[in-house]
Amino acid sequence: MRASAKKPAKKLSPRLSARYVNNRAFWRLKPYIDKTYPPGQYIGLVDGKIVADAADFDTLHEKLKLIEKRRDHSMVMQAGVNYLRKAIDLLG
Amino acid sequence: MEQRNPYKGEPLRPWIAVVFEKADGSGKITKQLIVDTGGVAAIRINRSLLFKIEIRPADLQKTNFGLAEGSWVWVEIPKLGFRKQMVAYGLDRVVAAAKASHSDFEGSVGLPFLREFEYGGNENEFWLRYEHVP
Repeated sequence: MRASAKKPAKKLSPRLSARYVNNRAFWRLKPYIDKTYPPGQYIGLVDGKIVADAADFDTLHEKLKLIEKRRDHSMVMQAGVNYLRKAIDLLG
Repeated sequence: MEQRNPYKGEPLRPWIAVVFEKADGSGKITKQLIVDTGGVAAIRINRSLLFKIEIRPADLQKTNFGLAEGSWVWVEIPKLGFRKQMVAYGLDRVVAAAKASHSDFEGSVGLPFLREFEYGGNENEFWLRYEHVP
């Protein structure tokens, strides 16, 4: 029997796994976020869902403390900001 | 007020000193970062430093140097009266490239960071000026 050429998937740490979940959700939700929230509004995601928003970072930070189980399993982004999914660094 | 630094390293690079606040509130860390006026990220530092100063996770970026993890951090330049939450990205290979120029360098700042300031350079020095608008 021929062995599969596929390498076993590398297991991500829970922290990085949570980051991927939130990052994917953010990009999926970005059109909705930009249409729904005022520009610059801070948006909090946990487990791939929008759970809170606020006009300033500190207020959102405090709101998220009441919701999340682990700080590093959350994500904060701003509505209306052009983030880069892919970037080229020329330093070197 | 301005920060003015003579170019340093091989090849010579413009640089600035910035202060990061540790996430656990136990103090501050000062780092020298190369100024990359074409850089697309506000701040690039190594991942171990990023984890010490991360307030909250931000986005992930795919780069030609690998995956960059973004985190919200407090950045200060006390003498200029500058203090702001910004997204810094952890990317160890960029730090290695910066260190190849001079061992003091611990990463880079790019255009999204520089947009907060007036900046410029002559044949000897790079400078950064900040005017606080309440």
